[in-house]
Amino acid sequence: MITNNQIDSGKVVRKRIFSRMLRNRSMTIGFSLVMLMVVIAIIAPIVSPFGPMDIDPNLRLKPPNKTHIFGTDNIGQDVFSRALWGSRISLLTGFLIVLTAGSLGIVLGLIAGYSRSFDAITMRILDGLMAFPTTLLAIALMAVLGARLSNVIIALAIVYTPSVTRVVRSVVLVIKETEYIEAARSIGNSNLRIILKHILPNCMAPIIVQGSFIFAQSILAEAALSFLGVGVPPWIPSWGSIMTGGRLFINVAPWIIFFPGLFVLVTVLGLNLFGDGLRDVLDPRLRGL
Amino acid sequence: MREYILKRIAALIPVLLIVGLIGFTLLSLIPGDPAAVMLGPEASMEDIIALRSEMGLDLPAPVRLFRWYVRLFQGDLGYSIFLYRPVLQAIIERLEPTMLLTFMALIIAGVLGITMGITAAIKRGTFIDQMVMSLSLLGLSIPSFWLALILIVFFALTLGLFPVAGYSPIEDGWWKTLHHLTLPAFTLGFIQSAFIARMTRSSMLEVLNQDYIRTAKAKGLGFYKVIVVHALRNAFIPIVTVMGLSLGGLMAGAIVVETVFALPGIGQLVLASISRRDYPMVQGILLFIASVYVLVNFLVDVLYVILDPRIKYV
Amino acid sequence: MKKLLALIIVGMLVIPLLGINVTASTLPKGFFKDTVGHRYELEIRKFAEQDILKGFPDGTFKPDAEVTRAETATILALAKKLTPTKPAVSPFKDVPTTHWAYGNIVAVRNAGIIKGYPDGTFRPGANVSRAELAALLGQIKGLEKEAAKITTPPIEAPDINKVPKWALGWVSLGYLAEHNYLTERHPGGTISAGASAHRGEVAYGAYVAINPPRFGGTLKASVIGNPSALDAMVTTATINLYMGWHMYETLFTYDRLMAPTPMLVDTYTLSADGLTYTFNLRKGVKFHNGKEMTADDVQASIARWGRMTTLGRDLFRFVRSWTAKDKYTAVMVLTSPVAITPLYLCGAQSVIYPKEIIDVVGDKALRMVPEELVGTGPYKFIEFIPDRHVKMVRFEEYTVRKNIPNGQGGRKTAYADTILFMPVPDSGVRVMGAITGLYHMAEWTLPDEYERLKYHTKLRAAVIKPSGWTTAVFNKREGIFTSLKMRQAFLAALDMEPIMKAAYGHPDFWRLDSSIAFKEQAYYTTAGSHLYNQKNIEKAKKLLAEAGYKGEPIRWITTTEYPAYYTTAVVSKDQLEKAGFNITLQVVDWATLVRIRADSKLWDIFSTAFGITFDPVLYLCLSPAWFGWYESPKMVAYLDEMRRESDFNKRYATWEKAMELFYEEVPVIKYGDYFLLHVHRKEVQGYQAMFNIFWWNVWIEK
Repeated sequence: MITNNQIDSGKVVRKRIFSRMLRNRSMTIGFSLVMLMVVIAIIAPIVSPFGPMDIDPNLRLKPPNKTHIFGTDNIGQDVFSRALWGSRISLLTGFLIVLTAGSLGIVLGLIAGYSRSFDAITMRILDGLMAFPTTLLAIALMAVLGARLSNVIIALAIVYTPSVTRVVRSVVLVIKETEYIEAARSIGNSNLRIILKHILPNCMAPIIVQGSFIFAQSILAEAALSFLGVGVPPWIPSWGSIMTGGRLFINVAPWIIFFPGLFVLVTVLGLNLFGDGLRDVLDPRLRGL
Repeated sequence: MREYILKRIAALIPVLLIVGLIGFTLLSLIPGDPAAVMLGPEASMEDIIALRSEMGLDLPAPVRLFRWYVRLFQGDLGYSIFLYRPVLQAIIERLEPTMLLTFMALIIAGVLGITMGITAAIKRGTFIDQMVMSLSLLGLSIPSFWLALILIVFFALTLGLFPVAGYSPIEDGWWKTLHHLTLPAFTLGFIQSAFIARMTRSSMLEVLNQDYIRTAKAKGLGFYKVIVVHALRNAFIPIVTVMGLSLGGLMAGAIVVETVFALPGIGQLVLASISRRDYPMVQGILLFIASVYVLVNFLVDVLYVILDPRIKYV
Repeated sequence: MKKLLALIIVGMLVIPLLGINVTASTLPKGFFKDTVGHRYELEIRKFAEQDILKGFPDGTFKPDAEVTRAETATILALAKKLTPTKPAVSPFKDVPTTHWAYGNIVAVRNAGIIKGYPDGTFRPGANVSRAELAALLGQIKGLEKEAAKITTPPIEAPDINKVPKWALGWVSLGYLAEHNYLTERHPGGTISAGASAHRGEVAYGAYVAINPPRFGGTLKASVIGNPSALDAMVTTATINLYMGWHMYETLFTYDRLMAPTPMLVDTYTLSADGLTYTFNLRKGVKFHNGKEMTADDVQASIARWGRMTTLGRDLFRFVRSWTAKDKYTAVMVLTSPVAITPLYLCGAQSVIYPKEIIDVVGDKALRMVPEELVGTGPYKFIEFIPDRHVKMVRFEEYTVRKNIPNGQGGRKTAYADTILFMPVPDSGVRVMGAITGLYHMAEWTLPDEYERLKYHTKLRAAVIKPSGWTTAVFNKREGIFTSLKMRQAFLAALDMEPIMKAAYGHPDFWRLDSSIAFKEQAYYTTAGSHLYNQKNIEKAKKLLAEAGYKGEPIRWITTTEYPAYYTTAVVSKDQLEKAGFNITLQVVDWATLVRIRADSKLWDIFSTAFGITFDPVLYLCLSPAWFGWYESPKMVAYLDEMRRESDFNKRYATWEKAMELFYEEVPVIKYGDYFLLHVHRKEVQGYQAMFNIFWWNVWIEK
């Protein structure tokens, strides 16, 4: 007879995973890079020398110098300060997208894994959505919703939900058939309890890995959408919107695009390293992928 | 086998219908007025209203959707109000740069990715492995438009090696076309090579650990023979798959890259059509791109089944 | 791995910074302080690059200084590459052997170009008249026989009768495209035979005499986008009309001073009561389809224009009848005098199409096929491939006018075999393409690039002055700005300088000015200017209080598709909030903006800009019918008065009152004037930096 306790006895495993995390180099580097950006985002109001919206047309398009270490843009805003403030917007946007797409994906995936009729309909629609290249779908959604920060989150959450749903659904379908779920059911656990106690925890590893990649993708996508002029509106400093403003001035003021781009690069690199490492740790079978 | 393929084809149809529906729904929700855009900034109200009804834009959305589906089944994607030509013709006219860009990028991505992947796999755990892998990680992390702009500033503006932007059609000479496409294809290819490199590396590692490779090595076969003849051949299937799947990523990336390099391809067309609210054009392109995407995935699946006798196709 | 990353990152840091050009402190060869942007900049530059011309020690060339005979002799000698000859005894009484130009004066004398006066003098310090210069240049080209043949003037020019007999042949030869350097030097359409020539004119004339206009080649013009329609009557967008005026012609067109000059009309008369216009058309004018243009075509086209366009409907409110009297005469009878009828017919929309096409197409837009886009212009339409090009080729049977080019009027010569208008939406790409030779020219260039481009050895940068004015339009039909005090408060708070600076950057590309008629136009006035650029926050606060404003949100619709619109809005918002305005910017794309502005419920202000308006009666921002709906009985009365009045002074007086009213009622905000930066490659010759860009009379050097 298998008891709940036995099923749950993953504590030892967890401990081992944690020590493996510490030893995984790409994960530590990735984690530190991401944390660095998070710290920058938190202390941005204290350390930025200028306000993110301060305008001074007399100081427009100044190359990097002592007062404006990343230079200024076409209306005389300090690129450094905006990039610092931008990390708040960009990271928060990315985080909210992951959160939304993640929760939506989990819910849809769980239901799809359990209900055949729901599965048939949902998966067709999701297939339809996934048939569009992500950038294209996001652009079309933004055109519908209008260039607003909240809409970027909604649009990209819609774009990334299908991938989470698929992951969750496939895990559910596999786990549902395993012996220990059968066992759990046989000892009279309700479906809800099984989902919460057994299936969901088992989905978590792939979801977290997927989540860190979606986070990375969201930051890239936000930048690309804003760059194409359909993302975050230009006065709100996100890395993407700062770069949009600089696109026109690439010949005369490359710094407007250059520095925020570096911020994006470092953050996304950090997230990818973190995700890679996490995958290695959580699922050693996938190591090296 | 035949059954499997037929089944897969049958499954394509609802997906495509849904794609059409999604595209149409999105578009009918977009605010903005094609008539006003067309008539210019100084146009009067009455002219705009007249043109709207001439273009059939005052009809309710379901009516327009129905008409669109009906025409679609007749093989007619509609007529672009802005480009003065059938949507399909407009798409075909734009195919050349997009297809060439995608294929060039695929070749660059394949060559770069496979080389990087094999090198990393062979030199597993060494400094070279780490370098190659961090380079591929960089590819995954770099914003494509940013890389494109930096390449333009450096290779086109500063060194003058390549044209800064624009396209030269094949009819004006192959060489010029390639010259124009080098930077954009490299931008796309470099980013996509990251995926291929990672895939190649892991499948190579899997193969290199197999007994027959160990045996081959033990037999004293040369490096070339072991790697190319035995290992690579067996790692080939997953690599082909990932390259096939890359096509989707390349098409998505092409939208942004075409914009930066001012290439008159499908990507630029869809963006421009959205901004001027050329509804039939956007619908047509959405359907077109999604169909290509779905078809490529389908072909990759089929190819996979054909190439790998171990996989059962039921 | 960290090392590698660091290396890559540092590498990428350095790469883009390499691309930044530093403006040279000394000018490159060929450039002078006072020739950049000059009408003859290119010719002077090219001569100077070959060491034929040298400037003054202070780095200037003084292109507009009157030229002396000694200077002319030197320029001609060097241009013709004559060897300076210095005989021990001077052949001229008044040229000592120590004279700075001695060697060159003798050289041109020996070459038979300048012979000197019968009294044995050369008069080196005397000025050279324009007629004399035409003769000198003609002699260099060996055109004596041709010039002698001409005894009656074959050209039309207002002052042709004042040309001295001996010079008639020379200036008349200038009518031929290949000798345009003889008479075309003067931009005003007059010959001004007796006026002194300028240093720049000598350089231009000598340059073109030696490097005559070349027929052939493909002119590649990068433009900001695809045309949305090439039927001139369906669209007001500049990009469409710009392509259109290469293919189509109008009854009248603008001369260099923005006044009407006949184009397809030969002569016209106006009856004494000011109600009947009789237009006598030019004979033998061919359409691209080979058909001759007659009064029937003109009648059908202008009638269609009267139905389809804002301007046309505006004029046709007063048209009683519009008929073709005979094959070459069309008659328009009005119900009330419209003083500026010819000006209405100058507009790029009032083009003449063949009647057969109108009969078939009606008021639907012409399709973009050569069979339907038919005009009488120097170029004819071949094809439109979206995002690649609009292609036009020379119309070989084009019928030229016999007056010398003046603005968009006069003789048009299609030198280039083909013109390609290539859509390139990105300003940076247009410029880079012009530098690398992908395109011959780039329009709408970012003013911030001017410093770098004006001394670019491969390009010529031209400031197009004036180009337009930036504005914010109030919704006067509904919402918060129906209140006059609110609009006045808005105007009072604004400080225009930072706004214009932020929007247009380089100081050569914007100008603060209260008048909505440009300084370069006849109706320019300072009336109302005391209310422009007040920067008076206190006054604004007071007015807001009087208006009873309590911080209700104001919806300002703007777009980043035209970056200056967005920038003016964002900087204004910053200033207005100091006065207590609560502004919400809604940044949408242009397509959405034009949709929103049509519905008075959806907005309070929107951003836009106006180009040149050619007469006060035609200002859209003063029209009750246009978006914003300025329904002012007083303004309508002023404009009505001006429409009927034909006396300039009386019209001007009314206009001054109208501009006072404009600043009291504030229907829209005028921020300032902006100028466009246009660059083209230096092998493109003959381009005039005018308010409208056109590519006839322009050739590509080998």
